[in-house]
Amino acid sequence: MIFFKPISYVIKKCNKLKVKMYSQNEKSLIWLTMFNELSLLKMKKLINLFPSPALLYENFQTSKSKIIDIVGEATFSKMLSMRDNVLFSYITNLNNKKIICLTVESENYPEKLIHLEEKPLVLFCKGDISLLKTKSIAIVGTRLPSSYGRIVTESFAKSLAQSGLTIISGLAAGVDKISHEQAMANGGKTIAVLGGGFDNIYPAMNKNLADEIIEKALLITEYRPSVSPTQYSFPFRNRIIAALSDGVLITEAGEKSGALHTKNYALEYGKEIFAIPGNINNVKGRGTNRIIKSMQGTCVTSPEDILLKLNINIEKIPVQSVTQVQTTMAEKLILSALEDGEKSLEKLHEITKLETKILNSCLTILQIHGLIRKLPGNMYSL
Amino acid sequence: MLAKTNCFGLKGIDGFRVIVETNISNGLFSFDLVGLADVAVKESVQRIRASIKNSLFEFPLKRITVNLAPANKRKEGPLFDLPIAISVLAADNQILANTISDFVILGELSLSGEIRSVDGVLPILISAQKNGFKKFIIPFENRKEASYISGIKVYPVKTLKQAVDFLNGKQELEFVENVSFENIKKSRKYDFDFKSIRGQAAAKRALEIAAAGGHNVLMIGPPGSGKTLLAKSFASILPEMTFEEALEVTKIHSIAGKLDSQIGILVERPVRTPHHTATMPSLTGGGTKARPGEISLAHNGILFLDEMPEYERRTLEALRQPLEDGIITVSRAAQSAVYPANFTLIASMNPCPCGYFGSNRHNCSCTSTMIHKYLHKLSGPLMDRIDLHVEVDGVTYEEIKNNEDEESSESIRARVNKARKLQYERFKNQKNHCNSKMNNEMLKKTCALDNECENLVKDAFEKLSLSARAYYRILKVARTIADLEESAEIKAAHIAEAIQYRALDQKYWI
Repeated sequence: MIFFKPISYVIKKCNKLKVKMYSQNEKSLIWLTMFNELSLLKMKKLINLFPSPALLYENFQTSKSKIIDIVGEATFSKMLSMRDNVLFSYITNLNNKKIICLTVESENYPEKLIHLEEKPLVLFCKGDISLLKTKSIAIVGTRLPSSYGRIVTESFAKSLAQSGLTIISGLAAGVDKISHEQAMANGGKTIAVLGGGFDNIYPAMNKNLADEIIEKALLITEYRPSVSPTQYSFPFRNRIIAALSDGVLITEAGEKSGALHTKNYALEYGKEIFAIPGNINNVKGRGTNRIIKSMQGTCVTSPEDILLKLNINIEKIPVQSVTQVQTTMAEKLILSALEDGEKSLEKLHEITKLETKILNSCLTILQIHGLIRKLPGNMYSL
Repeated sequence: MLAKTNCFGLKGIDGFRVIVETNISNGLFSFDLVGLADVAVKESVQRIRASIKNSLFEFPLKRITVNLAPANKRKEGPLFDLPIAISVLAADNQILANTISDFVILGELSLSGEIRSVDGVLPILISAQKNGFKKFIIPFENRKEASYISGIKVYPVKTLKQAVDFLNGKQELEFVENVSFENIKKSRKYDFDFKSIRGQAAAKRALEIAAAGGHNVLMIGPPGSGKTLLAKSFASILPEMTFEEALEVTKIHSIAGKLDSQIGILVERPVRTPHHTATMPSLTGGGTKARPGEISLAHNGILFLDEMPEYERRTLEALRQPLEDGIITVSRAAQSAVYPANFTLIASMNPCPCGYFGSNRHNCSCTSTMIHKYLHKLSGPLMDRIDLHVEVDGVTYEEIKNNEDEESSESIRARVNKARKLQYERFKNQKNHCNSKMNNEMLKKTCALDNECENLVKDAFEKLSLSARAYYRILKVARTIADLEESAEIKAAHIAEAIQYRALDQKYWI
C-alpha cells in the first residue's frame, strides 16, 4: 500500500523548500506575468501605484477603482481570482521545470538591465544564471546567411567565444544558430534570449539546440513558458540582447533584417556596434554595409578588432597551433585554384584537369584537414 | 458428349493449369459456365456463340455445361474464349476430340471469329512448358513473345476457323521459329548516351559507381541542371541484361499488357518514370486483381523518381521494403501475388522549394524553415537505402558550346561490366550479386580497412560531422570504387572519394 500524505502537509513542505525562495515582492511581480492582458506598460503603471510590488498584491482589493482604471474590470476580476493558491501552484510549476525567475527586486537581476526604461520585470531563466554577469558580445544577423555570412559568423563566434566573451544571440535560424553552436562547440559560454516562452521554442527545429544551451549555458526570456512568440515579440526582445551585451556584432544582414532592430537598441543604449563588411553586389550584405557607411558602427575584419575595442587582453586568446599538413601535388593544384574565391566542382575539374575520382578524393582529404570547406550547391572554398 | 481442352490462368507472374470441360446433353438450350470465372470470362458466352456462327460452324442448341477446373481458383481475363469455343465444338463432334488434349490453347474471340491478342502469354508458355506441354495455339499477334522459348511448338492462329481446321488436320500451320536473344540484342539502340551530356563530371562519375555496384542514387540540383537527362541516360551504362533477366522482366510486362508486340521481349533494361502524383497502389501494385505496379515493371531496371519530395510520403515509405528485399507482395481481398521488384532507384530533387538554394546563378527566395522542411520530407529510413547523394549544378554556356565529345556510354559500360564481374565472383553463393545488397556479415569480410583507412574514416566523421548511418554506405560505395579499379583492397583514396557522395549527411546545409 502506498501511503499518501495529506495535501496540507505537502504544501507546507513545498513552502519550506521552494516557494520560500521568492520574497513577497518577487512573488507579486511573478504574479503579474500570468496575464496576457497586461503589457509591460500596464504592469509598470500598476507597480507605480504603490511603493513596493508586495503592497500592490496586499492592497489589491482595497484599491479596486485605481486598478480598474488601468487594467479594466474583466482583467481585475481575473487577477483577483488568480491569487494565493493559483499563484502558488504557478510558482511550484515553474520550480518543477527548473525555471529561475529573476525579478527587478531580485538580488541577481542583471545590472545591465536595471537602468533600462523598458526593462523586463521578470526574467525567466533556464541554465547557468551566473553568465549574466560576464563580459559579453551579441552576434546577430540574417536568418538565411550566404556562404560568406556563414563562414565569417563561424570564425568570429569561435574566436570570440574562445577569448572568454559570452556570446549572446536570439536562438533564431541562421546567424543566431551558428553563433550559439560555435560558442558551445569551442568551450565558450552563450546566452540565448527568446521571443516567446520556454514551451514555444521558435523555430521548432532549434529545440535540440535550446536543450543543449539549457544544459551548458543559459536560456532567458521575459515571457512565461506558455506564451507563444508573435511577430512583435521578436524585435522587442532584441532590446534585451542589446542591453545585456557589451557590444553588438552584426555579421551579415540584409536591408530589412531584424538584426537592425538590435543595432538601433544598441545605439540607444550606447553600446559598441561592430559590422563585418559584405559583398556590395550581394543583397545580403546591404544592411551591414549601410551601418559601416553611415558610421553607426565600427567596421571589423578580424575578431581582434573587437577585442581591442572592448579592452580585452588579446594575449588571452589561445594561439591556434597551425599544424603543417603535407599535401600532395593534386591537392596543391586544388588549393591554388581556390585562392581567388569559391569554385564549383565543375570549375575545379576544368582548371585542375584532374580526373573526377582523384578530384573527389582529394577534396575529402582537404576537407578533413580543414584546408577547404564544402558549401551548398557543390561549391568549395578555402 | 464430353470434351476437354487445356488452358492456363495467371496468378502473379506464374501460370496455373486450367482444364476446360464441356458437356453437351439433350434438352432445352442453355449455356452454363461454372468454375469461379470473373465477368470477362462469363461474358465470353456471347462472343463464343457469335464467333462460332460467323465462322460457319454450327452452334449446338442443346444443354451445354462448361466447367473451368480447378474450381477453387479464380479465373480472369478473356484468354479462355478460344479454349471454351474449341471444347464446345469438340463436344459437338465438330472437332476430333483426341487431337486437342496435347495443346494448350489461349485467345480472345471477336464476334466475327477473329482471334485477338491477350496479356500474359509469355509467363503462361513458361509455366506450361514446366508442366510438360509442348504444343500451343496462341493468337497471331502474340507470336513474337513465343519466339524466344526453345523446345516448344507454338502455332499462331488468326481466326477460329483456322484453329479448327488445323486441329482437324485440314490445314497445316507454320509454328513460330526460334529467335536468338543475342541477335535481337545487337539491334537495340539507346535513345540517350553519356556522350551527348556536357560537363557534369561529378554526377557522371556517381552514376558510373551506381551502375557498377547496383547502388541507388539521389541527385540534388537546381531546375534545368540536367538531372532528368542523366537519369535517362543511366540505362545505357548498366550491364546488358542476360536472357534470364530479360525473360523475368518480360513476364511482368506481358501480364501488365505493356509489351511491344513487334519485338515480344524486353531487350533494354526498363526505365520507369512514374509522375509524382502517382498513388501508392500504382507504384507498388494493386487493384482488385493485384496487378504489378511501377516498381515491378522496373524490375532489373531503373525506377526514376523525379522531384522526389513531391511524392506523397506514404507512397515513398512503401518503397522501403521492396528496396530491401527486391520483391513485393501485393495482397488484396480477392487474391495476393508476389512480384519481383529488384530495381535501381534514381531519384532527383531540388535543394529547396524554389530550387536555387546554393546555386551561384540565381538567388534563393526560401526561408531557412522552408528549406529545412523540404529536405526533411524524405525520411531517414528511406535515405538509408540510398547510397549515393550527389549534387548537380547547372551547366555554363561555355560547357554547352564546347564541341568536344565526352566519354561514350559504351566505354563506361565496359568498366561497369568488369566491376560487376568481380562482384559476381565474390558473391557466387549469395542471392544477390552486387555490393549494394551486401549484408553486414559480407561487409565485414569484404570491406576490411587498414589502419590508414580507419583513421581517415574516423577523422571524416569528426571533422565533417557525418551522421552515423553514413558509415556502412561509405564502405559499400568504397568497395565498388575499388572494384572499378580492380583493386582487391579498399584504399584510402577510395574511402575519400566515397565520402564526397554523402552530400546530405554533411551538415553544411542549414
